[in-house]
Amino acid sequence: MLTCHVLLIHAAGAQGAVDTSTLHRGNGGEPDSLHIHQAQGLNSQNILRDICEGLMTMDANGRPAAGVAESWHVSDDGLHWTFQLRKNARWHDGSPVLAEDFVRAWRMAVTPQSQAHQAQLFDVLKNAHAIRTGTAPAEKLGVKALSGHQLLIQLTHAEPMLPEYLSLPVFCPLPARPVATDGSYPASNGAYFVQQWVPQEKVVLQKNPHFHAARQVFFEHVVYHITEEPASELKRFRAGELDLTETIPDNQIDWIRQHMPQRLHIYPYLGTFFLGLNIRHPPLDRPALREALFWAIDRDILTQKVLKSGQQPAYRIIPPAMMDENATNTLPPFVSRNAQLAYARKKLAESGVRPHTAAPVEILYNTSANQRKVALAVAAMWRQNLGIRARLRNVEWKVFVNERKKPHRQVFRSGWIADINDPLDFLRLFSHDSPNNFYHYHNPDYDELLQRIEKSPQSQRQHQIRQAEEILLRDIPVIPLYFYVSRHLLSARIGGYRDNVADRHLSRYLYDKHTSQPPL
Amino acid sequence: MWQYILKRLLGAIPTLLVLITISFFLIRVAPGGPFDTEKSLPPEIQANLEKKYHLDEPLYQQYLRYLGNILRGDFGPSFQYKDFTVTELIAKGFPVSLTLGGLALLLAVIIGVSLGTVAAVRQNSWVDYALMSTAMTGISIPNFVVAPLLILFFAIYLNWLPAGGWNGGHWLYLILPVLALSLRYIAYIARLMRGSMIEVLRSDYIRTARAKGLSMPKVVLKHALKPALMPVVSYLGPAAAGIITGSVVIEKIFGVPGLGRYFVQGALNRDYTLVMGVVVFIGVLIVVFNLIVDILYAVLDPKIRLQGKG
Repeated sequence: MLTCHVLLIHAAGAQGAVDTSTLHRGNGGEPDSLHIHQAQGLNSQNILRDICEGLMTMDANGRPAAGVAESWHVSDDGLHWTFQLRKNARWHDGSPVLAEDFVRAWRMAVTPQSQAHQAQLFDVLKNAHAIRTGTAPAEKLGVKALSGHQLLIQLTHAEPMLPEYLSLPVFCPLPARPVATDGSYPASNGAYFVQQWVPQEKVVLQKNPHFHAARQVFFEHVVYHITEEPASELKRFRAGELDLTETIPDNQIDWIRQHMPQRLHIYPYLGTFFLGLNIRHPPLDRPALREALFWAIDRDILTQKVLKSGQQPAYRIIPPAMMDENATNTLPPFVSRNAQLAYARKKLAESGVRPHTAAPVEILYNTSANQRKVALAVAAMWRQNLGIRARLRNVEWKVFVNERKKPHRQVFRSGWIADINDPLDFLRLFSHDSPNNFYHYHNPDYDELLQRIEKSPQSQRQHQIRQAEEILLRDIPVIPLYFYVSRHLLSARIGGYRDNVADRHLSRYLYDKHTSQPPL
Repeated sequence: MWQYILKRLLGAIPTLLVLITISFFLIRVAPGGPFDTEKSLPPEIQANLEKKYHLDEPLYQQYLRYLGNILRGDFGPSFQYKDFTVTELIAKGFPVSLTLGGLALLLAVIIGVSLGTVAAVRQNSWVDYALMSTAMTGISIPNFVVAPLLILFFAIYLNWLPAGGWNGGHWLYLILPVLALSLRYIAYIARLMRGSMIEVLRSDYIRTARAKGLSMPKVVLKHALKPALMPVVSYLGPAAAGIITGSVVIEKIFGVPGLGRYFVQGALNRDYTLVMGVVVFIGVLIVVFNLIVDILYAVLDPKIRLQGKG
């Protein structure tokens, strides 16, 4: 046994178990692609943020910051943005990043043949929608290289959130020709480039020596480990093999809180979980019944006793983290739980639905331990508080994605995570022509207000956004249950990590506390 | 011999064709498609994607196209892992599964056969009972229980071995997954071996050998082992095909980049080409391994003549 021990320790030592110049990150499932136009999943986006840089990037707090763009100027009408590019922005082979590289990449993204999954995000650019739907040539896109380092963007409407869009990986540039390494990995102009990709195991990044801020980048290598199983990810973290985890296993939260509370980072996130209602289907077409169902659910029990992972109870649709600091989460007339229940029962009586004779309401959810817990708790609360019976139906994920579109389903799990830190991203979900409006919600007043918000200056938006949300909370196409949180475990050796609502943590800002001071 | 092998391989073609046809249509019948995601794609992008992957064509046309591609050795692009073709994914995953599975199988055979033999020779003694109760426990405890326990003990408490990863097949990274994967097989082979060894030891020629004064170890090793291995060999064929094409559970727990996960993920993601690629690949492997087992039979038992079979 002793010999075995010595042998193993020796072997581990020979391998160089602790390499301070390498950052090990858990990254969930296998990335679906590392091409800026094909990538969809969050685990792809995490890596892309390290290997590509758009006109804008993210700072350590997850807010848009100057990337390849050095400065910019917005025209008075807000429709023309002129960006000055850094002269020292480089691809990882050392060639310069030029305005033309953005024009090429963006035209390619909106061209129907390129099948870019997020092409609709370009709709803010002039003619993008027409090009995307095949009615205009790509050359008509509202982007123009004024010179090698100057780029003009023309918009369809004044969009104050443009910097948020421009920080997304899909808005990164593409080089004129593939950068010569072995040709199989995407060209990089970010802080890192892809050195090795072993599917289902890891993606290894190497520091880009030509990156304009390379001197402030600490880690020479970043390894994104595929950690599909949160329980295994936790074990690898405990064994010291990971510096930052992608998530934590739901059923271990108590253990983590007890044994490694300082390593745990739980923070509000740009997402809300709600129950979708098919508001055309009886009896859910009765607004009073929807209101009764809304108030019969005890969100505190749901978040504190059932889920127990730091989620915040939601009485609104837009996460408070996206609104101003004074934004409240609770609706005004109800303070106590008893008042909420009394109101729910009153509304049920108004709706004319007799719970004991009515057919059970079906709750559809995808197969998952957490979804099951939520559905069971909600069904129990409706039964207990209103006498309404619910029938649970769980289906596999792909079946669920299809089923929720069908006209016969009633209540189904739903939710939204915003692409960018903009409340409008949530509100657009409920416009009648949204491909994600599975609720059959159609309120012309709401659609009209939404269009007005799109054209409003930033100063008026906040108020109008609240107005739009109030309409939704009155019509109740969805019942918000809780706001999502991001959950990570962070090694004690890592510095530079800042919790942020966008849950974006670029590796370039992280450093080893034991061997370095914070990079300048 | 070669004629027999050729005959068997040709005979496998209709089997594979049936396998491909059934799998192709079954996966298409499953609700949901490869591009159905949480956030719905705009219809024009969805249409473009379907066009790119020929999903807009009638199903029979897609089937014929797929058969044609397979004949050219082209499994197509993966719908989910867009930067790789299915052939690339299999080519990267299979050597890993082969190494892991091969070592686990080797370990299982060596330990399983030894334990089974010892238990048979010491039949009904405390050694036998102890070994067989351990084997029963080994069969009953599933991988997903054993593997985390091994990690907890060796990686976290003792800090001797890595908790996960593959690292190009470095031997330190192999120990825990190989052990976790082989435990069940060790237990199963030990039980099989014990049963068949007891039967062989009771046969007349063994009694004759013992009567001639041969020592027990010599009798077992020289006369009993070979015939007693027959059931183990017939078990090894399908077991080998299963074990070297990857174990989903072990791969997920240890973060091993093998082939097994593609099977499950491919089906869940409706990654039609990936599922089909893995099905065809495993189908071919099973045919080949069954053939190897039949050849091994002839080697172990001269009474079996290959020409008389098939």
